[in-house]
Amino acid sequence: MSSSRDDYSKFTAVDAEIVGISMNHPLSQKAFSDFLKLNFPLLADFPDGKTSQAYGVFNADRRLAGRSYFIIDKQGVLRYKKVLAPKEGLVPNETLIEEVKKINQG
Amino acid sequence: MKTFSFLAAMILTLSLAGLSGTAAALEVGDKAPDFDLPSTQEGKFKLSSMVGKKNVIVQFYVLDFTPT
Repeated sequence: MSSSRDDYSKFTAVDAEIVGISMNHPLSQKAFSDFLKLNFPLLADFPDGKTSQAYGVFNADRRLAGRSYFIIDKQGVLRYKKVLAPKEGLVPNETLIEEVKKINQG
Repeated sequence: MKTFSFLAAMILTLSLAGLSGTAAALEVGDKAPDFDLPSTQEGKFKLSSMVGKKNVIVQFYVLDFTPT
């Protein structure tokens, strides 16, 4: 989340908004967001995880969302999807920005 | 007989639960499921409100206050 904060201007430069979604309580997210001084919103998929389920990243055993990335274009169509395996490294911001550039080029 | 009915009911329940879990996975090219969720900025964030305006990068994360 802090790396997305640091690169926020690079995301807005390619006409992209970032949102973080978790199944944590809105108040917990607010504290986390304030702590990191995030410049993009965190959204609470709380308490039932409906959005996590709709995106296929709901972990029923832990009742938590799994680490994953989705890029949605201006038509509302999913254009990139990456669901991380356990212990797999995060997707670099450069990769996400390249994907958005590809979408912008049509 | 009672035991049999119970087992039959249990198997039916489990198989139905299995079916509901096999909903088609979301794939690239699909319309992204809309959401309208409480935001740490101004009220709520509705995905479909960004149509025609911006690309949206959605990052699901596990827990607040962890690096994951």
